Amino acid sequence: MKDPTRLTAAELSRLYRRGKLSPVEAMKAVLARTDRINPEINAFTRIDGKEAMAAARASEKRWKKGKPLSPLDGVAVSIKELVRVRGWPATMGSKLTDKSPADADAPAVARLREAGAIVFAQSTSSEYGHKGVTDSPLNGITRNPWNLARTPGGSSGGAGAAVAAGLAPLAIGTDGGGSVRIPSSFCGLVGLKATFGRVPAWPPGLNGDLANTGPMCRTALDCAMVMNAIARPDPRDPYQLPEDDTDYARKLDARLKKRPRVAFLLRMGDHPIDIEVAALVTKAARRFEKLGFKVEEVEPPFPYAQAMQSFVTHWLTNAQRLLELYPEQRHGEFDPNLLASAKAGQRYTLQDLINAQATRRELAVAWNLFFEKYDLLLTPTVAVQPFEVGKPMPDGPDGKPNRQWSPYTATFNLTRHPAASVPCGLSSDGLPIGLHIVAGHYKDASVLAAAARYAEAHPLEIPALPEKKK
Amino acid sequence: MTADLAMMPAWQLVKLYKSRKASPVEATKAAIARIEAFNPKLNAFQHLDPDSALRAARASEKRWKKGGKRLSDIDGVPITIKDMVLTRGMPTRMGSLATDPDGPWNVDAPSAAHLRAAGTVLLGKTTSPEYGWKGVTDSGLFGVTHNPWKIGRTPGGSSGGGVAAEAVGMGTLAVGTDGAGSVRIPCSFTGLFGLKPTQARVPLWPPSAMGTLSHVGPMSRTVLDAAMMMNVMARPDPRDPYGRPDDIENYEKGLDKGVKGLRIAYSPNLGFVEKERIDRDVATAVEAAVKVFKTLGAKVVEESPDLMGLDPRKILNAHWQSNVAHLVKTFSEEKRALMDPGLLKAAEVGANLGQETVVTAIHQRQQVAAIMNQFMARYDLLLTPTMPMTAFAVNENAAWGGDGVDIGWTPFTLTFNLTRQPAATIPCGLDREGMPIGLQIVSGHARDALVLRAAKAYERVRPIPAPPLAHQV
Repeated sequence: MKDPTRLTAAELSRLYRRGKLSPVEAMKAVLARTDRINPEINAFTRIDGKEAMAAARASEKRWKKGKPLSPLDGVAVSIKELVRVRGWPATMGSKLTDKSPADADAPAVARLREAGAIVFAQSTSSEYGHKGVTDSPLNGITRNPWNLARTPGGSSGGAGAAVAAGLAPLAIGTDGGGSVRIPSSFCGLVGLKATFGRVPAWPPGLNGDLANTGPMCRTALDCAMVMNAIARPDPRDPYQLPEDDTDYARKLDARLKKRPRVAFLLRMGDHPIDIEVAALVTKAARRFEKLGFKVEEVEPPFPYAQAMQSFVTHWLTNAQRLLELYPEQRHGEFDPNLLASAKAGQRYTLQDLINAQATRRELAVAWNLFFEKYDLLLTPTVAVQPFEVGKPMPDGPDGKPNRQWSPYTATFNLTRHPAASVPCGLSSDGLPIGLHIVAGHYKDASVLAAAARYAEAHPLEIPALPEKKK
Repeated sequence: MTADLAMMPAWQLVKLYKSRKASPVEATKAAIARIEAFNPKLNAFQHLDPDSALRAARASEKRWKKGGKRLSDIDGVPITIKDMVLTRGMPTRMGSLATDPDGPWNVDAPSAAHLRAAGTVLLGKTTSPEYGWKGVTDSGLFGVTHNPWKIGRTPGGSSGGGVAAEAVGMGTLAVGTDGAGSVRIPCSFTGLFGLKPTQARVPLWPPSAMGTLSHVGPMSRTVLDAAMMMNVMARPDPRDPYGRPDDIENYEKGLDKGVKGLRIAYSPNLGFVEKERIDRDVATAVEAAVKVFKTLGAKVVEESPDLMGLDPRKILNAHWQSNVAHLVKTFSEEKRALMDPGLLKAAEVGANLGQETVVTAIHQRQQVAAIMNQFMARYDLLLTPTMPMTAFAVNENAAWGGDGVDIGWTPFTLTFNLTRQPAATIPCGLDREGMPIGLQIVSGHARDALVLRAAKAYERVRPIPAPPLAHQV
């Protein structure tokens, strides 16, 4: 028997069904591994071992009776600290947040519980998810199990580090500008930011309608299984899409329509890109030809600088609300990077904001028309390799901080299109590189299916992590 | 016969087309005759093109003849479209002297494209205040539009031209737009049915300055007609990035299923409108309409949502004032001098709101929407008055002597622009002066068909009367 912590949710589920493994054994293994590994990577803020074991025993009974609540019954899942879990404080990586226990589960958590998944740990985030790496005043630094000196990315870095290290096969992250996809890329996982509204969320967060709740897993199939649970209606989210009864797992096997048109671009605009990232992603795009797709190199349909300006304006003006939410004498307790963002947000004028909104609408129309022509878009997920922990951005080729290290993901938070990251190789340093797959609205299943098709042909085996320090 | 064709609902008209008892050309001529008779008094059109309408009608006539292929269930039905919706071959001036009179007019907005592809006959473009900025209808471009129930009263707005035309048979179906109530206000004031669908259910392009507050919707003399319009208009268009997934809904199906057993909340003031602000005739008529739903077997409970102190009026004002501030800035100083002083004032207020105020309003909008969603999880429908008052005199920018900068005089409608829920208005009586009163019927997102079904049930026992003017042919 393989170590249960190395198994995917789909594999665990199959073994549970056949009675070859019980949720109790699997949960024990996850908890034991968590005890050992979490101190090294700092992926979790809290671990509810006792409740998890009780839930595992209940699940075991259901499987024994042949009446699991869903295929995910008895599979462990961690939840990012920005997402509410009943009985846990929604800490948000912040010293300032209310630390009393939440009195309700967020929609995704409620759906996962209903599916029998075991909500066993809370994963780390940068404070309020404001940056693409994971360290916070509340929890310190979270590390990448592929190399402990590197960042797992962020803001769902705890989720990414945990899944890569075998601390449960499933994690729930959130993505307001790339925060599911960046850590999925940096940790060698499949992560999906679905079409906005496909996964209901509650309560309304700081990042408004940029924010999405999404799965981070080792395989597209596991993401699909999580989507089957969480892409279900919840009356608390006024932006939720109508139920469409999609079976995401089944759709992975749907036959390809004749030569789907795939657009490929390496640059969203004038920004640097790591040479190894460029090479691996180009190779991956070429492989899509062999998988039955028609791949074409394209230019982005909208000026990058304008799109990023719109995003940054939305992002920072939202961040400024923190200054009102908490009394000024406590502002010193914020991550200095977040405080600077919030203060920068105050400097935007109303005209800037309205321009940013107008740009967002134009950008969305441009990409919508783009996806009339192409079934999929391929880009790198991130323009750089996972970089050293302890700083919000890597150094660029010129030795100065590279502000444009993540130019691909945020556009699709503005436009609301579904987008996933799937691993497409390792750099010469042995660090994972992600391929970004995007599609038209509501084509979440196509995005996952493309990720599955690619990963099946070109799998990335995740070794036992964390690897020993070099 | 021709006069009757003009007031005939679309569903009846197409039956006559089918049995060849009437033709699209006759119906179009009947509408044109009414335009000649009534438009000089009402001033409902910004642009008219009887020749192109007759050409379209003749083409449709051929399709209705034996062996022809109809383009839709409303092929050959005369329609009007508001001056805010782009139409190929007809000017779209947005009710503004500042827009270019020379076009080009070479593209249809999604709703216009769908209606054209459906074979409908476009009579002309109906009046709107400048960029639909207020809930009444007058503009520097085209003067004052009047209410067919009483000349000298406003038809409401901003889709005021559309309703003035629709009420007296200057067209069988009308298209309006609604950013804070601009379909429902005028339908309420002129005794018509109007639906603001779930946001983006009817796709919209180019993107509105009002963002996701903006909606396109049908205005009609019967509920079935609105359902037939929705079957044509509520179809995807890639140009609207907010476009909802195609639900292939047939809005006519199940329309007659009634309201028996439906859970209905009745909220006389939506939990935040000051009771003294609501006209007593309105309150009485709405109360009586609610009783009809009880009689029809619905489970009606009086309950208002708890908005936790949030005021939808303030939230909407911040959104639209800041947006018009931006809109006005896109014009040169000379052009700005041509614009409605009220609109310029709203823009000035908007420009001085401060960015934090607007960001806060955006977040408060989400909170209101979340509250309403949870409220609607317990009910199938929500009933409220459409307007706190009936139609007032023309040449006012707002009710209660307001300047229109504060759009808060239409609190019942604007709440559902914030929340993006489907909301319709159906006539439910006349006030002491004989002016129409509207009942607003609201449901949860994507439940547009249910709103239509409830309206149809009410209409069956309380048919919609035409204004006396419509009979003076």
